[in-house]
Amino acid sequence: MANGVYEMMRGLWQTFRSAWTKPVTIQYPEVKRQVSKRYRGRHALKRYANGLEKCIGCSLCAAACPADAIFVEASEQTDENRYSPGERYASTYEINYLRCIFCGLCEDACPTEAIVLEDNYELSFETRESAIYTKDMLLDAVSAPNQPTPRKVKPGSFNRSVPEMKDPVD
Amino acid sequence: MGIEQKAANLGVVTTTLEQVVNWSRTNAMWPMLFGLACCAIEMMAAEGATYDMSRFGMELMRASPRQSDLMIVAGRVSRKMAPVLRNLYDQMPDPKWVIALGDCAACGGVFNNYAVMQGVDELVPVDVYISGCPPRPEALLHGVITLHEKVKKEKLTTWK
Amino acid sequence: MANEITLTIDGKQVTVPAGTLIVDAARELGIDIPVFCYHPKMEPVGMCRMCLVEVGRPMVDRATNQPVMEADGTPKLQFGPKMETACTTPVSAGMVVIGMSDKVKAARNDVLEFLLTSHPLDCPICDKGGECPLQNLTMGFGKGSSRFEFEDKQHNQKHVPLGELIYLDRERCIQCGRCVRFQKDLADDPVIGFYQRGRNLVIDTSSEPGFDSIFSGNTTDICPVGALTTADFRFGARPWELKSAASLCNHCAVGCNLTYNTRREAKSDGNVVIKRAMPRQNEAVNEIWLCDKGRFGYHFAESHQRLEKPLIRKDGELVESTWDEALDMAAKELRAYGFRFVSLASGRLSNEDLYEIKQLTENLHGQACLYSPMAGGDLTPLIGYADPQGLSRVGKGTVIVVAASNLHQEAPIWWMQVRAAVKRGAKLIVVNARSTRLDKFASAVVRYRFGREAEAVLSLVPAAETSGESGKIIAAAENLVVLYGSDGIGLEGSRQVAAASAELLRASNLLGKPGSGLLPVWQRANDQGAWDTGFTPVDDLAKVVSEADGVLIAGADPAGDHPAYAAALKKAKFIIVQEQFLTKTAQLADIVFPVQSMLERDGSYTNGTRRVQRFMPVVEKLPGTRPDYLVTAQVRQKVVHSNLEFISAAQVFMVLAAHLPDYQNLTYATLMETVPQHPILGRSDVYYGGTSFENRQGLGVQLGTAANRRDKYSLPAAPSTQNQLPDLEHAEELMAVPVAELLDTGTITQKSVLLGKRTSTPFALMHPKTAQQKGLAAGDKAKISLAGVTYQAVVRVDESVPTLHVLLPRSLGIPLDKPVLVKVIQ
Repeated sequence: MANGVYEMMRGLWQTFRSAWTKPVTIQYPEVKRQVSKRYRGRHALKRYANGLEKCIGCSLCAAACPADAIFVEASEQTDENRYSPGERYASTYEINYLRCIFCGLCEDACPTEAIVLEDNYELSFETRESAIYTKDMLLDAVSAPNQPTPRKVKPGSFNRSVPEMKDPVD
Repeated sequence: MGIEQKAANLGVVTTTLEQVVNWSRTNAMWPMLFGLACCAIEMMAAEGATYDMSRFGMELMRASPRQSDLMIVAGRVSRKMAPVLRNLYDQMPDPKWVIALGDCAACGGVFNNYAVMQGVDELVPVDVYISGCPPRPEALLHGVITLHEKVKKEKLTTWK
Repeated sequence: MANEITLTIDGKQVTVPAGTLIVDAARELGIDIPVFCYHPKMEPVGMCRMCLVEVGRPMVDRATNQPVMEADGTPKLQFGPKMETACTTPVSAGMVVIGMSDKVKAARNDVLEFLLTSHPLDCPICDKGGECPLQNLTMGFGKGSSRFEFEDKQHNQKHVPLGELIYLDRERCIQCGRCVRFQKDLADDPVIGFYQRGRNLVIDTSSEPGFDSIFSGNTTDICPVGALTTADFRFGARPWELKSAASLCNHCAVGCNLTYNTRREAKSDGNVVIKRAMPRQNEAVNEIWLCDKGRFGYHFAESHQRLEKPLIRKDGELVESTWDEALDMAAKELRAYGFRFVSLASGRLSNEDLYEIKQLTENLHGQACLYSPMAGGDLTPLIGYADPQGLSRVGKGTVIVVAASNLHQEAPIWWMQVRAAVKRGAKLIVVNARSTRLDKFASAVVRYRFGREAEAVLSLVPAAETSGESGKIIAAAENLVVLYGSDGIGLEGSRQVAAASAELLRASNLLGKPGSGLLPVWQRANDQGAWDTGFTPVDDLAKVVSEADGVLIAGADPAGDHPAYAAALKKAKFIIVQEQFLTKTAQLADIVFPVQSMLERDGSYTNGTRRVQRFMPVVEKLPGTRPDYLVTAQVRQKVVHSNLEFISAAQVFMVLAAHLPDYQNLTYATLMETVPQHPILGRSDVYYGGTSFENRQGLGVQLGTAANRRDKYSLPAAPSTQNQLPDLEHAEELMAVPVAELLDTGTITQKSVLLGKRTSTPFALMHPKTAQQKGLAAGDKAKISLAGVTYQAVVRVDESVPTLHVLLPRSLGIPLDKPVLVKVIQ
């Protein structure tokens, strides 16, 4: 009996004590918790500093994707209408976010580091169609207003589609 | 202008029945447990102290369909589970909503095979799909907010 | 075979015919010795050094000429100090080949490093990436990193259109020369070659227009890297994203086996579309080759001009209707008009369609007409060329007679095979009024004036006084193959040539040998099947049609081909057309049923050698369309209240097989049987990766002939040797004869935008003297007045064309189905 009362008091003491500690609740959506540096959220298609798209439409991300979430269709480009370096660019690039499992294999497969998983996790949709992100939605904003894609470039200045890259250090 | 102005001066706010009911529905939406797989772990986390879903009026995960408004399908639904899911959904009283939490519940995810339902929308009408494998607790909260927005837009004519 | 040699490769013994190369012997064992420049269909050159292996031969004592033995009694082996190329070294008895030692691996590693010194390594954007032998071998034997910096590499042009169809990437080229050798040795179009030397060596085209060859697409198949790509598939999809479906080419009587690769595409409104056509190995038909018409001419199915709803004539106008209404109307009208019924079908339809149409025609006691200007389909079941190996193995001892055919344009793959047969030692006799591209390979060439084709063929009969040199060649023949086409002749002429060819075969006493027989070069894929199901061409089609009450036209556009047929059709009381497009014939119809193209359904074709082959659905069917056999069956059900017992092509084929004696015991399953084929081409990507050569979907079944079965049969009497054409009385009139042109504007060919760039312009080929007489020179535009209508054509001259004749192409807008007199003016 006494033991029971003691245990009850001990429990209530815990409750009483907790009432004075700072609440741990994160007030989402007003406050957003910092995600880890290596968090894999929604993708972004990156651009070079000169504004050209890094994506060359090689479809290796789609091949690497275990969930079959990525659909890429390539087309040929000319110097008159240049999207990315080389001859090929992605004319269609779609990711179905209801299929994507954010594993990051696409990032690993990308030969030009064009696709990067960033930190946005707020992905909920009222329809399945709206979960398909097209190239316009994924592509980063143009870095400078005078560098849109497609654009006309000097012939022969962007012949190499796959840039030389250092081996990944970390 | 007339009546609203006067009523406001008297400390009375007028609004439409639609808005009041929708508002009250959003703030007392009791979810039903439907944890099936890994997503359920995140759903539990969302109910825990750090994320605290009760801030949205989701105090309890009801284990009983008859006392719940929102079914959160968390995880892949196998074909064998399908009739159970539908049965529980049918037992829920109107109005009722469904969130498909995670890729598997939304469209089968990576389990593109005969054993797994390719999306619970084959069984029940889904209101909100949440992407992720599994989604973060925040993503579930985001989904709940999306659902609230949707409920707030519901029309009197479509009420159940 | 007597001359067989046993050798050991990597510890396994294999017995192969003498003369086999080590690389092929290894393939028999399942050992892949990597190659780049070697191709089993071409002479080895040993350029790339990829196939280096260690070769040991039994040591022979020079003094005694006896093999030297080891202590344990096995022959002592002598390995050369250096490695040998497996692709140029023939096997010898007792040879021991080591194909996978450290030494060999080191050699492969070095060869690959050299090949990659200037390779751009842009596999991510390369069309070959994923099915590239260079990529696969580099993964297997390569170093993993290069000692060459990018800037040290030789940079070449990456975007070189060799023509409208083929693009070259000079950086990727490893200079194996497969394409150059193919064009020179097999296609006889040496229009591409090496240019410059050393590290600057590049491939270039020397023709105008660029890469002017009808076999150009094959070079992209055999290219071991992504240097040669087709304009069609360029950046179209990655190979691993493609689905494939086995099909047949429906453009000529060869019946090439091919595989269509498909993909669902956003560019095409989310439809499944064909991305490319790849050959499927069938040594008895097309080996591993395709002509450009077959490779690029598949766009008809995805055309936006396709009919999607049945059309019926209401108040003189064709209006869209429903299937039920159109079928009811067809049945009602056919019951009313059924007593003089004519069905007109072409070899574009499958056996199943033709069988159903024939059944309907029989139910209505009508006449089943084949829309073709060629005769002789009744002779092929008796004495046809029915070698189960096709033309691909024909060689020494065989005499091939090509009569009245410009084979290069009529059946390009047969042309290539005839040419290869001559290389292997077969003798060729060309019988044609004018020179064709086969002449330079012929042992004898027989010329005649148009109208005397039969006479010319009969002159080859060894007993004939006129036979001469060619008669001697035929008299010495072990096998005789007679191909006849439709170069410059109409139906009557064709009948004469067929009869004359049969007479030649009979007189040669070689009938009954499997390697001898008659091979008509039909214009369409399934003309032979149409003959077999009971269709025959009629002499005066216009008259037959105009006198008919009810006409059913399927797979043919007579009104578009000839104004006389259009006029005749206007007289017919009631016309049903089954067609994919709103052709001129369809515009005259009372009911138009939209049908599926062969790419959307399954069925079977019987090719010129009477090999029955099956094709499968490739793309999704266009909504609202039905297959021809189903449409006819549904009409028939309503007309004669037959049971609609067949709903699938396979079921129709079963009934067909039960009713046609030659097709007995055939089912779709037997058509899909395969046997291992040689040379082995599929299986491994290390070898000829990138091509879907491998054939798992069936080789078809070769039908036998009465002669080979030693059945009794009777051949038609030898034709008269009279001139079939009127004499050229009036000086201002010329005799116009129709000739075939491969890249024409047929109903289904003209939908290919890509081929459109290569489509010939209408031409008028004549003797320079004739042209001069008319005041014309080569390149001029001539006006040709035909039945009161004037057509334009570009004048071409050729000294071999008989004077006072003008050769006009079929299916290029000039309506000509038989030799007629025309006026040619400036």
